[in-house]
Amino acid sequence: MFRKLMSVMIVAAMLGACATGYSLIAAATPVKVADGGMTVTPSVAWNKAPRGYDQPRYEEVWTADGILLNTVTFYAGVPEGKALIRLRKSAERQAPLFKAAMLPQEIAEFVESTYRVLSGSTVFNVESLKPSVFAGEQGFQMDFNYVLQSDELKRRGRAVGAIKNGKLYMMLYDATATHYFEATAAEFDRIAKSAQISVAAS
Amino acid sequence: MFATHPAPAERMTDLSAAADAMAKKSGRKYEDGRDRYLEVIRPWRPQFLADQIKLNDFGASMFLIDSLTGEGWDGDLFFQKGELFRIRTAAGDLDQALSWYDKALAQTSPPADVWRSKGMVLLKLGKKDEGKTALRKYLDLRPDAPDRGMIEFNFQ
Repeated sequence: MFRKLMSVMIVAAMLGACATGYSLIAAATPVKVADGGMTVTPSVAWNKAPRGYDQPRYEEVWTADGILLNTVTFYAGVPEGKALIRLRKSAERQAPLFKAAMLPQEIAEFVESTYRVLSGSTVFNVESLKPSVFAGEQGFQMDFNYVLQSDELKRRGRAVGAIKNGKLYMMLYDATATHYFEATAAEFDRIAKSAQISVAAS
Repeated sequence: MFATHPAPAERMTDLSAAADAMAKKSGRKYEDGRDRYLEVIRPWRPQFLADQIKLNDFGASMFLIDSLTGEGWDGDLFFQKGELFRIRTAAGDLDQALSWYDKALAQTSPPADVWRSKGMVLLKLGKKDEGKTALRKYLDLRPDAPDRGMIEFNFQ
């Protein structure tokens, strides 16, 4: 998802090249994601976004209709002391760091703070936070909505995840509030239910 | 050579000096609107401070809160100061956060979220019964809390 925030900033320059670098994720076939840290089985085909030069190995992004419209981001094993996205050390603000002792409410704050730091968004609302089992581990589900300052379009998101062996495993669904969130929300839930943490990664 | 605009600090100094000089010269008392501004902004300040703290900039947020205490402390300022420490979690920060939350709770009409944050800190310090008590108090004050489901799960 955070790839999208970067893309909004450079989308005009990228329009001519946006079709390159994507690969097809086939439906109904288990696939390893995020450097093999998790395995999921989508029920429909998705597009895997090209990896950015500064993208952590534990992150992978899929989209159904384009990364400005909907994305599923996999975080497979964010370790203690690492952020969801890399920023330059000279950046005015730094993204918050994951801590293994975080309560679910603090992981929700961690996600929100990451969005605010990266996008400058001043509108971010947590709609609900409830317990949920993810990849066989007791975890959380957070639903939220927010607005990017750059385009003022209302967006919705859902994060499901859990901490295992001190690392954060999470899936983040992010889409425009108009049409696209509802269009693939059920598929996101199916993918999340299929998620398994790889034994070697954990 | 290419400086066409004065820097903000220079502008502030010059405008302040000009305003003082004008007031002194005329002998009039000018209405600065500060009281009216504070009255209008006060209901929004807790939200603005909470948004600021979520920007993960401990130093800037601390500076802002300390600046605002020049107008006097209130329950929300004590609470937000506690939030800075709770979120940073450096050594000793959780105990610091608790002390600021307790100061907030000693004020008139502290925000309900103080109980939530106090509860989370107590849980993290291993004081489970006290933590649950604080979280129950939070839910009593905010029956529509968006994280009610997660908090009630902690009670099991």
